[in-house]
Amino acid sequence: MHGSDASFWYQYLVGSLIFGYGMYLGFRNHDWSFHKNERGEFILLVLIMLGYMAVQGFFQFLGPRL
Amino acid sequence: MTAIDTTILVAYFLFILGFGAFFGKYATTTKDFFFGGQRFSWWLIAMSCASMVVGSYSFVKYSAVAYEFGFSSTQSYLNDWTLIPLWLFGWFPIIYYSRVQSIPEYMERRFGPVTRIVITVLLLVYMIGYIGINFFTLGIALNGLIPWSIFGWAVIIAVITAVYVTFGGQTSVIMTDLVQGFLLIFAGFFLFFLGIHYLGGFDVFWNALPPDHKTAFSPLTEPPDFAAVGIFWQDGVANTAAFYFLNQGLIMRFLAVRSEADGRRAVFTVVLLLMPLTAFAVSNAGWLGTALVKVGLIQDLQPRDVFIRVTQFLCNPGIFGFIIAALIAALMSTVDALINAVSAIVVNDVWRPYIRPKAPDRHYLKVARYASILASIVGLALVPVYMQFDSIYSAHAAFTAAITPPLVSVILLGFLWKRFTARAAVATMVGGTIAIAFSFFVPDVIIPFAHGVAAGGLHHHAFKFMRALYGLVMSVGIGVAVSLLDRKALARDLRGLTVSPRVDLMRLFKGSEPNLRKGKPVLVTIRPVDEEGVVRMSAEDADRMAADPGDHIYVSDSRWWLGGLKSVHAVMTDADGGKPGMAEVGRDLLKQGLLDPKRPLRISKIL
Repeated sequence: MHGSDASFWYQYLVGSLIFGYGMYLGFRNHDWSFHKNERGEFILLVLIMLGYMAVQGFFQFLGPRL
Repeated sequence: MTAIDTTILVAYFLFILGFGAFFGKYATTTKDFFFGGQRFSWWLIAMSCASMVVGSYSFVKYSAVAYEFGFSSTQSYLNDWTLIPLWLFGWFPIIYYSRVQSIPEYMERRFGPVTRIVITVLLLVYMIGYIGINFFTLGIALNGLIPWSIFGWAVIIAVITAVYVTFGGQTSVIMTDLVQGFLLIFAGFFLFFLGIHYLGGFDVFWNALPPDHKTAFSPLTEPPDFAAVGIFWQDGVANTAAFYFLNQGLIMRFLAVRSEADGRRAVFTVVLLLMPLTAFAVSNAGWLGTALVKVGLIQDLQPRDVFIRVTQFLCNPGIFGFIIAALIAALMSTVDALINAVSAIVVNDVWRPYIRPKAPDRHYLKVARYASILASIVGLALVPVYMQFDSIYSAHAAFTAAITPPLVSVILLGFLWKRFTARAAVATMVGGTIAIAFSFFVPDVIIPFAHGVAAGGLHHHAFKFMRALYGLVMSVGIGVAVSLLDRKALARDLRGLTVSPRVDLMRLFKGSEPNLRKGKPVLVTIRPVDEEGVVRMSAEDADRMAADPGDHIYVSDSRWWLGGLKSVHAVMTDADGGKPGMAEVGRDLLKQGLLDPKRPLRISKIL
């Protein structure tokens, strides 16, 4: 694995643990409900994380080949 | 520097000075001065947060990193997502609904007065030193572009910033930051456009970059001053946590927002949109520098000169002045927040509790203005000190590195763990700082946490990035251990101060059951009445808003682009009569919100 590829996986694995803990708090503080008002925010947060992952992953793995 | 550049710069200075000072009329109470009357829309807060992130050193620093390492220069800006849920679901509802006015105040309510005093001293030293650093680094950057006195540049900027912050407080800060944020992002993109145009197209730029400059990350453990693991723990965790959880300026911005929902929208906008844009804006001069060297248009380019030389190379007269204005905007939008934050801490954590309690609000407003001027003067006075004694500059950097992990640990443990005690908080601050100071003399203690990253220097220059992980582990370890051993923890009322169901925090804030029914805003014409604090609506409008008497509502000018500048929070007193589309509003509220009774107003329920 390229040295900086490891950086990608490190950030997204360790970062996801911190992110996941925050999400857990969110669910707990909303009484584990997926009320319509808040559902969008939870989904948006996950999409933001996946969006960052996709863009950074794109440059990380495909950038040098383009 | 040509005449047209000078004209642009002078025009920019005059515009910001006038624009900022204009909002002085909106600061008539300390609530206005520190929190902008708690009335602003999410987009104003989002933009002002983004412009606060970009300091005077950001263009110079990140262009240098981008020149050396390529796209991975953006990784420092693109890791905030890790902590956002924790902030959004944990910390933000606490500060919003508990209405703490400062970090030290939270510390006193959570732990007691000793912790408040310690934090107050540490934050003041840190923030005033940081004001000086911003003036100093801008002076250096401008001195490279337009050779003139470093101190002279600092004086000009300090006077302009101090004037508008002193007049308008938080409202001026937020409104000028909106302009400055747009300017610095636009300037960054414009520079890139010029570079691509000069190079002859995007393909030439792309092909001139070496393959290892096109990755999003630097290697995990090397080089020591840019290893990705170090960036993650220092920038991504310690500094990001310090920014979102500990930065008095940021907290004041989010207390200036009109509702919790707007605060959430603001942070989503920052993370989703503005951080990637600013990352690009501050870095791209470095990428262009690499390409310009590769195609032979610039020779002998050193990393620390990249931003200056690329700007000089690409910009014609006029545009050059515009880019310099953006650099200055980056400084002002950081320093104005710091000056306002110092003023808030001086008034709320020193003057009000210890020097003159229970004085009229106008007295505190006057003190707040004097404190703003004093913070600017002391920050400015530090510039010649930094110029003469490099060791002082390094000492501030070392001080920041030493106090950040313990303070971040105290805040995080404080709101996440009810068992975390006052003694443990003091032990964490003192013990964590000592542990980090010890690592300045014996850096080898960091090796077990370094993931194999080399020291890269001696004493406090060793393990500059990995020290953050060491500091966090030591601080949290001390905090947890002392809490578990502390059997005489005082029973303290922690309601609203630790992570709790959101509805409980709302209940505490409102003093009654929050109304969570979803309604719609209504547009009404106003009949002013002499009764204080009254908002009387028709039953039909109240029904449309899903609001009941006693609910918190927000009354604003109907023009959305004012961003809440003319608005006020109130309580709906009655919903028992009148015609739909009409409301009776107390003259005191109209005056407080600077609302024109002849214009239609928008009223929405908050909770």
